[in-house]
Amino acid sequence: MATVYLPVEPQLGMTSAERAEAIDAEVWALRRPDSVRSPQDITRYYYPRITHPTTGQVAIVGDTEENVRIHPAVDLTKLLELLPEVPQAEKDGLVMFIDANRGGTVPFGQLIPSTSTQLTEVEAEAEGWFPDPIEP
Amino acid sequence: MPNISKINAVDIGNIAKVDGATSSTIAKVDGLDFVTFTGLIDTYTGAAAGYSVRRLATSATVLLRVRRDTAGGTGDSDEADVAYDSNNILSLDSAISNASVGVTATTLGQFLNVGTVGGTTYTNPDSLSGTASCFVDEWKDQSGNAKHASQATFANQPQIHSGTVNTDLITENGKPTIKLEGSSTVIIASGFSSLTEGELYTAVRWLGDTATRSGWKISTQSQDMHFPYLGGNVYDNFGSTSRRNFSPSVTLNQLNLYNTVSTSSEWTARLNGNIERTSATNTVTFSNDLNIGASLNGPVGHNFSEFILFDNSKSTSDRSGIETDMSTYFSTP
Repeated sequence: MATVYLPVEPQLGMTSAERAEAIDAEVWALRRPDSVRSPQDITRYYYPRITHPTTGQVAIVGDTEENVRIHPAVDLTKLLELLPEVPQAEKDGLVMFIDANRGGTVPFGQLIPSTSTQLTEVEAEAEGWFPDPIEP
Repeated sequence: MPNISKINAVDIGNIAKVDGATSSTIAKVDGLDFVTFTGLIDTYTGAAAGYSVRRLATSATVLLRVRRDTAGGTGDSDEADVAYDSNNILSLDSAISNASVGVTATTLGQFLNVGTVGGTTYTNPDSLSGTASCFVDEWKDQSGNAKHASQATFANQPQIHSGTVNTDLITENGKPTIKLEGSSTVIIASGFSSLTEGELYTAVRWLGDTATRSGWKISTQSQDMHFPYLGGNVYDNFGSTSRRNFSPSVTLNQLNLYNTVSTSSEWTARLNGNIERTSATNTVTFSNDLNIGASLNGPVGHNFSEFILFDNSKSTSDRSGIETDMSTYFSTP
């Protein structure tokens, strides 16, 4: 397991929290797309998210080594719309990669765009993502 | 001689009259006892929320909403509500309802394709390729207040079945339990900030990992609750502006009955009825959220079988009654 912290920038009129939630939902949709989901389903997100205690920015807490299941009926439209800063060539490459792995798995680390900030736990702690642990 | 608990598959508790006679006045039918259900929170009123693997209230219909995990195979991440069985407890025989589109299973055992357990072979109506593991989306509140404890994030959900074929639900002392383990596994219910006092009863086991530093929390006090802290003391701020600690009198690595009360004149913690820490000075504060599981600063590693929060403090006799009921049912010390 290799935990990675992915701070999400505000974009597209969304706050960091709103955009992080939307991206997280689309990561879950890789495994369970809208087309197979039921209205009463509760599970909507893949990874935990944390909020920076001073800036309010939200980060998705992923695992670069986790193999994410790709549903055969996956649709990347919404996910790509949420990543306007990613170059088109990289988006095209992501689509080809996902298409080649429909029904299989891909490591989460290979889904992270080159434009995304990636922090290790040590780096995230140094940047103040965790409140000072108030321990006994 | 067997008892009568249902007529035409309808629970006796849901039948008001039989041939014009009020059901509560009927003792026997053809010599068989006519059994009506009375749950713990029917007897002891004032539950702000009640979560359990067993039926706690006459009005309760569903215990959990669950997600089956087939690792991407057929039926992956389908969900269903799970009821109590004919013995009023969660089991593989529990009926499922309100399931995702395409699910045709009618019991939890079928929904998970568990194979043969306890002499019962469960069919595989949804044609799963193997046995599914099972996670909890929502632990249903049985108090009638609809304060369900939910988790919408796949990676944070508690577990009730390992996914091993021919294997029963995860258990503690022979009864099913809810396993919360990891750095982010947590379920959250909301709507408790208006409580002016409260009392909590939980059947819980710490799984023995000394990295564990959380448990649950319902307080605006800033520090974490630890049950225990790194395998040592318990630190608890239940409904209080103060966090108090104690060295537990029994190992927490067994299913125990833990009870805390917070009022303007008392804060007390008990393990299996034994007072561990008490104070006559206390300021009450309940957070809006009840978090059962990991905190930002600490992983969880616990099995929870029952978790009941009352909006009042209990009398000595009521407390004794609740403790007896829970300890008898869950075989706690």
